Amino acid sequence: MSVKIEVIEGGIPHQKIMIGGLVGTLVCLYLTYLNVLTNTEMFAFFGGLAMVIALIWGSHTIKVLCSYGIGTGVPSAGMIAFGSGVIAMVLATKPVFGMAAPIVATVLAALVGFILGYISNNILNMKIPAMVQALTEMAIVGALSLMGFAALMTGGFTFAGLTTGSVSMLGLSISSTANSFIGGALSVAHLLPLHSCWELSQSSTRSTQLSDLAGNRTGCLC
Amino acid sequence: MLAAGAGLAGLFGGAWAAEQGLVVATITGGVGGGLMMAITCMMVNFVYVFGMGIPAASGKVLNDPITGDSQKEFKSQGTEGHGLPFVSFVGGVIGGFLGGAGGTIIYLQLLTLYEATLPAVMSMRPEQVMPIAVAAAGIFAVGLFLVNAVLTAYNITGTIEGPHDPKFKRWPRAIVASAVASALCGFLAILIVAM
Repeated sequence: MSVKIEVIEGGIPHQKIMIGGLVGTLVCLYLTYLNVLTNTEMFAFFGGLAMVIALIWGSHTIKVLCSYGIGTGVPSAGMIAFGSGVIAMVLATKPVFGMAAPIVATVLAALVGFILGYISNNILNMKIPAMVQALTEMAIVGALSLMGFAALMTGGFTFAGLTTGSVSMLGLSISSTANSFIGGALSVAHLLPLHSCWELSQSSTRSTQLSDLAGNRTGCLC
Repeated sequence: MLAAGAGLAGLFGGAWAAEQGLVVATITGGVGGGLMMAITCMMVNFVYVFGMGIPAASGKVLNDPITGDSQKEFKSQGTEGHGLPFVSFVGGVIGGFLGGAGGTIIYLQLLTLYEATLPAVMSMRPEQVMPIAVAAAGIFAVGLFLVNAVLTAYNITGTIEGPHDPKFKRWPRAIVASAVASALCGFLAILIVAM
């Protein structure tokens, strides 16, 4: 696993996508707060945009991780992103944090992701140079895309809104928690099959378009 | 992937029996996880043996450690074994049992904690809080399970046949890693009601 097989070539540099993804997601998440200020619900769609931006960023992170020949670890990367992301995200929606929720989610997810990355690199001996950074980023992506999805459905990012609200989906009334969980899992886990099947040397356009599509599709389901 | 699946299957079994106390629920969860692995392993062999005519053979050992059957004659050249030898089946079912029981214990402990503390935190009546407690405990349990399943998968880097595989010797590392990761995630799960 420690052998670097091929570095990704072409496309936009990862640093740029990472910064753009983080800033774009946070800005879009905060734009949903206009709901509270103007007392409407129509700004909830910014949550969906936040999710799409986070997914594009996540897809590129997975691409970086894949370029080390991780193979069977590709689907796992999405699972660990979802697992660590959902824990950080639910904790960040605590009423104590209030408006700071997206930033708290980012910090918590980064912390969890960093520790998990350290564990897999040093204790489990994966020895992949990009592992710690990639797992940190994936945890943030997981947390923010789930939060964006929650904001898309409930119009905000509070624990009360997430747990007590319910969304009508295909004629069924499903609680928002369950819905954001299912939808988030669908979109985050979607990154993986998309990424296991493409080649490393090609430019990032196709994979980013695919993850864009995955995000849009789950958004439309609501 | 199968570890996550066994954990989730066990979680459903355990959640169903949650009312009947810790011991019954944990065993039910374990049986759920083990059953899921047993059915998966059996269907794999059905497809291999009856669907494609391929005998189950291990590429890692000469004789099956449990039945003593020799494997070499049945293994196709150039492969690392195929199908599910008996020892892999037994190993899988034991792993599924442990996974299901573990997932149920996580869920039950979080549920007990949330049932006791959420009414005060959210200023609601206990019966109103019940669905929220179940949902939150379930989500955290699944999150914890996904993290643990992936870390143990990273430990074996690729594939493993079962307890007879040489890679199985790496399990102490997986226990350390899972313990640290579970402690961290569990701490965050408690923080939501504790602060």
